[in-house]
Amino acid sequence: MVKKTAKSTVSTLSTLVVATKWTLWFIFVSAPLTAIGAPFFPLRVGPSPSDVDAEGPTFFIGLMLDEGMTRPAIILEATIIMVMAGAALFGLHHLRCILKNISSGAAFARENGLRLRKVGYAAVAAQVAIYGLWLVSVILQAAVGLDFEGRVIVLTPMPWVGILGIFVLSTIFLEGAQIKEEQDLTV
Amino acid sequence: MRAIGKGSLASLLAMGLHFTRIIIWVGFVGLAIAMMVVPFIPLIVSAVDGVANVDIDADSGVDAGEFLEIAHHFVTFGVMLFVVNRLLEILKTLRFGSPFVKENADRFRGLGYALLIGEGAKFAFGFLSLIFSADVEINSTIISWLAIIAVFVLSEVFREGARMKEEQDLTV
Repeated sequence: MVKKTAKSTVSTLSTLVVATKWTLWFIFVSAPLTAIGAPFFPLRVGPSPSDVDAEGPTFFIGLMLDEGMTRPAIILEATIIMVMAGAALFGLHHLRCILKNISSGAAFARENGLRLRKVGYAAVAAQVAIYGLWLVSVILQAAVGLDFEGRVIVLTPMPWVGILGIFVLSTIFLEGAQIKEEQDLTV
Repeated sequence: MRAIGKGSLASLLAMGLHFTRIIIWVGFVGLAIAMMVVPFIPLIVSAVDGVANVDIDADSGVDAGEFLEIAHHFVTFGVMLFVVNRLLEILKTLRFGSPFVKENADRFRGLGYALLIGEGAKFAFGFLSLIFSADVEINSTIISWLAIIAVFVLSEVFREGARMKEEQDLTV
């Protein structure tokens, strides 16, 4: 059985997960609205036709925009944020289910390992989608001349370290579940 | 590809962390040297200035704010180094043995405390930066706190796993 102190840690984590979930929902909904609405915002056009002042959309999705972003850059940024928020919401849903299992004393249920594996696959899908979007933006910039000024996708290996960690944890949970099943059969 | 054991995803992760550890070590040692040398820069400059055709015109003064920024990075790198070392120890058990040992539970707990100290240090340096007008960003996110609590939960899960494994070994 998981100890009382651990249970309170789990419930604190659950509360934080719920708070994060609502924040992510807001971002998830506002990001596509921005992507759709960006061409219609009353943006002030800067020195060149592709430059815009981000005053309008900053009001709408304050956290995501930097000054001097072009319209295509705003759409790309909003799409990337939507993908990331979607994957994070999927992950948080499964994390909440795992936490429920842990607090009810079933830390090593096979279901937990499988849920973690799903979270890992979702993270891989989101990361691949981001690379895809980056590739599309590069192609569009070269072929059609769309200006993505202000949006720089930083391709770092760090997310992959986290993703590997999730898959390793998933296997540990599955191994734990196997030991538990054997133990239950012995008893 | 297997997730744990020899030549597995855990080995790949360990390789990445070994590489990261080297970078963090370089940064940590550099910052440690900077912390020791920076307070004496004006002394060194005044000693060297004018000796053997050396003429230093640049502003050599280091104020408390700049020293605070270096100290902030030093603590951050220290915490990162501790975290990476603990993770590597955990990964070693995943590659060459069973993950369910009491030591791993203790390592996760230590990791959680280190991350807590790191977050606390952010606020402490943020507060000091207001006094000494240093450029230190607090930058604490809900994700960091989620990660810290998740590490403590993982520690308890590993403790439970270790207990279960011990029972299984006794039964066999």
